[in-house]
Amino acid sequence: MSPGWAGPTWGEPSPATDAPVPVRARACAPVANYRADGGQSADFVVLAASVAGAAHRLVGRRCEDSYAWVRPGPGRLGLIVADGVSTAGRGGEGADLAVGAAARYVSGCGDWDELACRAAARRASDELSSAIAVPAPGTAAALSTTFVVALVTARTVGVDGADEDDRAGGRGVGGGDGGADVVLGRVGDSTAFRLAEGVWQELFLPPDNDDLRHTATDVLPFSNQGDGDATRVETGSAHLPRGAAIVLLTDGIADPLRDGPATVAPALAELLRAGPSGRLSPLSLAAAADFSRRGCQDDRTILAAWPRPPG
Amino acid sequence: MASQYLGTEERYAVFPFYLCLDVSQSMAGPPIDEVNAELPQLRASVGQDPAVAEVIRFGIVTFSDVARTILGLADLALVQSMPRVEVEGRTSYASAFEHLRRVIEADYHAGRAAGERWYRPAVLFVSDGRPTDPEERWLEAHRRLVDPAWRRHPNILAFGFGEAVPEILATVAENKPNRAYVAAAGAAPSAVVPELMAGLVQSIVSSSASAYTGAPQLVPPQLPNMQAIPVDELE
Repeated sequence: MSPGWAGPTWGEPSPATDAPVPVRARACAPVANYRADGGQSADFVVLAASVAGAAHRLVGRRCEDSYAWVRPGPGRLGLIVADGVSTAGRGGEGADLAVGAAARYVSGCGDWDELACRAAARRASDELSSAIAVPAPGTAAALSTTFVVALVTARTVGVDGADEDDRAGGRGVGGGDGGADVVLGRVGDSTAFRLAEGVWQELFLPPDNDDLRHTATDVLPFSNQGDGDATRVETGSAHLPRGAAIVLLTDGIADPLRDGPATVAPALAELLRAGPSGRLSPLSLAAAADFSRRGCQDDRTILAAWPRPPG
Repeated sequence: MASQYLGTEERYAVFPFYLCLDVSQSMAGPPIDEVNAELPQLRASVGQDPAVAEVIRFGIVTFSDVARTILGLADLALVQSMPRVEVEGRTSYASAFEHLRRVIEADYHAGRAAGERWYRPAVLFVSDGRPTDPEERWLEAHRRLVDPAWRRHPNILAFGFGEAVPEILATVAENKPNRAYVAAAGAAPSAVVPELMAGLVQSIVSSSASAYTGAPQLVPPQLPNMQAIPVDELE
């Protein structure tokens, strides 16, 4: 962005980051191009940052990513990220609607399993379909967005506040090792990583590394109201050992993270190392997420969480 | 659950565009003059926009009896001047398609070695005439160029004027909607070519913007004096 605005340079710098950012004709807080948030509780540390990419900022468009988290009770944390499809027309609005609907569903959902992830995607899809059905039937694609959800259950606190023994069986939660269990679901190319001891591990199938960059991605809303499209939701699960982070990313960060194993990946890992201690602020994370790298001008969203050890 | 560690190579996204230009004898005069007048403008428009130049790589292939690369795939911000185009002989589509396949394959591997990660390449095919080589030969060369089994197969936008045949241009563009265009009846090449070149810039800029925002696609230009060639929709 304008000199002095940009974050760190990770890899070859982007010339576009030197261009001045025009003042948008209209702007308001809900569609801010720089967003950051976070907090610490007894069981989790959460940090979120979402910044518009240079491509959008230079033409006066909003950031079309969105995120949400919900903490419905002790030991539970739901994380959601969406990346609106710019060419769809109202992708940013779609991303906002999708994460909102999924967050509401996750807040009241009893069983946190892969079925819940599929259901959250379905709720998000239905929200998009219903939002646009009245003014313009058949144009729900204008709100197209990717979607990823992670349901995190800490191993230190029972789902309903009970102790470890009470919640054994059926929930896939093991002993209280200070880590957490995660179930995941996604539609499209937003993704999730586990970051443990500085090592990134992608929790969904990454794009093919041996050929052309992918040029199309799956999106919400599903094409019909039935359950058949729920098979398009990729799901999975993972364990977070003590000190590890679950990190949800839109492709604006995930792509350079994969493409920058000597630059973006170690720099971001080093930054996040301070996350569990609370020494990394949301604003610092947002500034870093605004890194300069040639060819990387997409909107960027990172939503990271660390389970906290007991005591 | 799939789990995979990151690779070890630094990579940067690149969106390659190849202008594949007919330089047969029929292009002599105003058409080729207009091309030569417009190419520097294309370089300026694409190369001087940092947001576009970062990702776009542009090369020029000409074809007549033979095909040649007159501008290797390059960052237009680093190109000092554009080459001049000269008219040559007949109109061998086969030579163009065979050359494009070789060039794209070679450029891809060179790019990989240099740390590039490619979006699917785009070919902007411009002709003012019908192919002079046997139909089976150019069709076979075209089939090899767009063969889905060849993972580097490009997307093609085809543009025609003068004696170009709409049905043939549609075939070149794989009969995909809004991928083949022909000049309106009576439109003079001297008017069509500048508009076409401006349209190519528009297509490149819009395509690069789509790449930056997560939904990369080859965006067709708006061309008032040209019309999209309709194609049948399959069931």
